[in-house]
Amino acid sequence: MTRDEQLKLQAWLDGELPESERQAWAARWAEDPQAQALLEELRLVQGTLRRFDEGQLRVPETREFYWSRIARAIEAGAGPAPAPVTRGLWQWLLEWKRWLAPAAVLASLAVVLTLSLPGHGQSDYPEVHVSQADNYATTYRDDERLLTLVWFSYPPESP
Amino acid sequence: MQNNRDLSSVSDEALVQAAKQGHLEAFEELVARHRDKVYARALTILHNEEDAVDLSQEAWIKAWQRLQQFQGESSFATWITRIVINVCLDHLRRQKRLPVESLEALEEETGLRDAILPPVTVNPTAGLERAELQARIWQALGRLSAAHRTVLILHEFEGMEYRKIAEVMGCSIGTVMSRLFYARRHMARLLKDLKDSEDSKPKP
Repeated sequence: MTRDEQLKLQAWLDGELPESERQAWAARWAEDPQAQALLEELRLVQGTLRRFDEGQLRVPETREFYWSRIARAIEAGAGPAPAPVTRGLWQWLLEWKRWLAPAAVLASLAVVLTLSLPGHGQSDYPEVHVSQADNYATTYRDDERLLTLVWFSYPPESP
Repeated sequence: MQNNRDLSSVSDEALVQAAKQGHLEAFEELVARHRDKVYARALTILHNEEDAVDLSQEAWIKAWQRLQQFQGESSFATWITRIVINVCLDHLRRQKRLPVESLEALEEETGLRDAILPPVTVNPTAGLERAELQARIWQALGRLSAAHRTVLILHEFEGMEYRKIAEVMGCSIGTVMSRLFYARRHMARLLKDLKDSEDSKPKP
């Protein structure tokens, strides 16, 4: 048998041979012991695989543990979440939280400006250092009073 | 949305609709329902438990991201299974374990070893107990190349036609036919070899 004939035999077994060719090939193979033996082998493998029970393959983790990684990725914003159809209070709060980081930055700038105004030199808080590590953490440091305040906005915003 | 305990009686379609509206607990119920099937598909393709867990979870994350695209043309189970198959195939491509068309000649060459051997016509799994049979099939599948195992799984377990397999694996129908043929021939040989090696062991 040629390779092409072997592949046609397989296609015949899988029902992938055009109807117009099926009968002619079947008649030819019926008289070919080599084709019969090959067909037997292909059927044997097909039959064996169909006896394989995939139901025995189960996730080797508890439902909660398996789900926890998926949930973490979803909550971390792994791609766009499905668009909610209804806009409840929770959705409003989620949107409002986006403004927390810019608001924190503005607040820190306001503190710096206020402290740098004339007259503030005589106040109880003579010198405050303000630094921003990134767009969600701002540090206020008072060297004189050995006081450090770190302001985190949550959740962190992507740049 | 009802609580998790009540969701067990809700249909997949209703859960999908709820998940599309952002209800994570509905999506969690879909995961709980279909996770074994999704994991099984990843495991049969990859034959590695750890990778199968990771990639099946990745498939669920992708499903969440693409949920709006699911329009119900197929069942949800079929849809998520297609996703995990694609995730696994991408993984194999990254690892270069799926030959590209240009390497087809090399693959044919390895297949020819089986092609010249006489066909196996005596069932090498006849008389095996169920558990033994499962183990024997699993062992033989594990010894196939990733490309041969995948095409066999897509055809025999997923019931895909040649055209669909070609589409999923990104190759020609001719390549699918060739891979499937050599995969079957090699599988028959592996099952026979496993039987022979078992028979040659001294019996107590």
